Amino acid sequence: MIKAENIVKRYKTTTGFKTVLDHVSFELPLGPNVGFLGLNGAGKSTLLRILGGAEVPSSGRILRQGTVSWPIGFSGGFQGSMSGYDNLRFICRIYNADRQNVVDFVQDFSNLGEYLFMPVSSYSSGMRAKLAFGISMAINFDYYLVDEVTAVGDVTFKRKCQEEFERRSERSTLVIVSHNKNTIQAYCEKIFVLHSGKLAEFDNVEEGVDFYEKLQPNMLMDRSLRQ
Amino acid sequence: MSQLLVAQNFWEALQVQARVIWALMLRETKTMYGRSKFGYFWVVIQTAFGVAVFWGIRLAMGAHHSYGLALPLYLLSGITAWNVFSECVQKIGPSIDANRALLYYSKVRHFDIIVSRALLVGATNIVVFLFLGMILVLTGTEIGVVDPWPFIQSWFFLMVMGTGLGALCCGLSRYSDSVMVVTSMVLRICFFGSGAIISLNMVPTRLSFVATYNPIYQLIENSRTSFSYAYHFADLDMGLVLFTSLVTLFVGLMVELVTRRKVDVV
Repeated sequence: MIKAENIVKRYKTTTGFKTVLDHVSFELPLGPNVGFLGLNGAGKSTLLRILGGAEVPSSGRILRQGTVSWPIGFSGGFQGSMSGYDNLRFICRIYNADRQNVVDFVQDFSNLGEYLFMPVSSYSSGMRAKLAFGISMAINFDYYLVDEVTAVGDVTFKRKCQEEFERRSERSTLVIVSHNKNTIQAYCEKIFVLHSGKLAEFDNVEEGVDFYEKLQPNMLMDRSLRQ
Repeated sequence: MSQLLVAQNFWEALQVQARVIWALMLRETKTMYGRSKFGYFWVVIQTAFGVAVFWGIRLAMGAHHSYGLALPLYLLSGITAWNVFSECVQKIGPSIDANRALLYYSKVRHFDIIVSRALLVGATNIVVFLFLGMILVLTGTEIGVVDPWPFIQSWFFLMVMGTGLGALCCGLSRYSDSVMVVTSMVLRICFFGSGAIISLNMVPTRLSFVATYNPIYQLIENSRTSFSYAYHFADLDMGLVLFTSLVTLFVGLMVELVTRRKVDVV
């Protein structure tokens, strides 16, 4: 279970404080995949970072029971001067994961071959993403945080990612943030719509998507009026 | 695929934390020193260079021993002890900012990053001290350990104080980028009053208040008593050292904690 209690997140901007999340509360029980829909800049990624613990809310708290992944495919934690293998070894150490299992999985999943033992700084962006995605999927978490399902690589790799996501969703909970309703419809059984710092909860995905679609013209109009 | 377990009690949580700190230390070692073939070598050279320069100056002034301690050992023990303190401050200050991305891994917390840097600084300087000490022995300098306790005690408290001040700088630098620049300047000045290269019995008595009120000076001088019966330092005020260490650590960690909400990961 992940429980968010009265979360507020404010950022300081040149024109004052901007409240991205305004007293938001919700519960994510283990089981159904959950989607957070919102326009660009609505605060979805911020919410995901707060759920994962990478960012601290301005007020409120997050209670986590079970293991929570980092955002799938996140490669920002890689140290460029270290090889893919060394970065992988670091992640295995902190999560106490079986290194050989992870290496085997990543080699099979990412097809990096000898590149796994070369510095990450020498990787192309595609290779980096493959490694990041491979490591994310090599470790079993109760919750997987997904910030926009963006498939990288060639057709074969995209298919692998798709299959892996589906396999994962059988045993774990996917928490997906996206501005794309199709992504949420494809994977989620429950939906939250984020707008103006508030969260609307829907147990029926289609109802949530309808709400989101009706919201879009209004929000765009609001923004153009503000500008 | 690898299955993860969640810590069920305090002991397991402690084991997880120790594992994370160890992993961070290994990563930091590679990041700081492993970038080039000579990365580790330069750490030793930097300290050796400092010792050599001040040794040369003191020899030119006609000094060969410092109150029963061979001059190179006097300088080596002083400079490495100072490095423990100042490097803790300077490396912990920007540590969270430099490792923000690691906070995405749920097991890594702010405190782990701070502790791992402090331990790495301590371990690095121990290795440098032992390595250069060995070279001194091989080149004919007499080094004996009469009582290791003052050395261990002093380095421990220097690490604690450095960690506290580093955490304080870490918190304050969230409000101003100049904090680490000013800290670095202040530390450079403090070096000369730290006892790393000059003891106060070599300077006018009107400056003796430095010994009375400076816990860093007291600890550096105290650490040297481990290596010679003849080297005495009677001014160690354990109350002052304990008080300063605990207050610095507490204030530093509290400031780092309360300013955390200011960190915005983008």
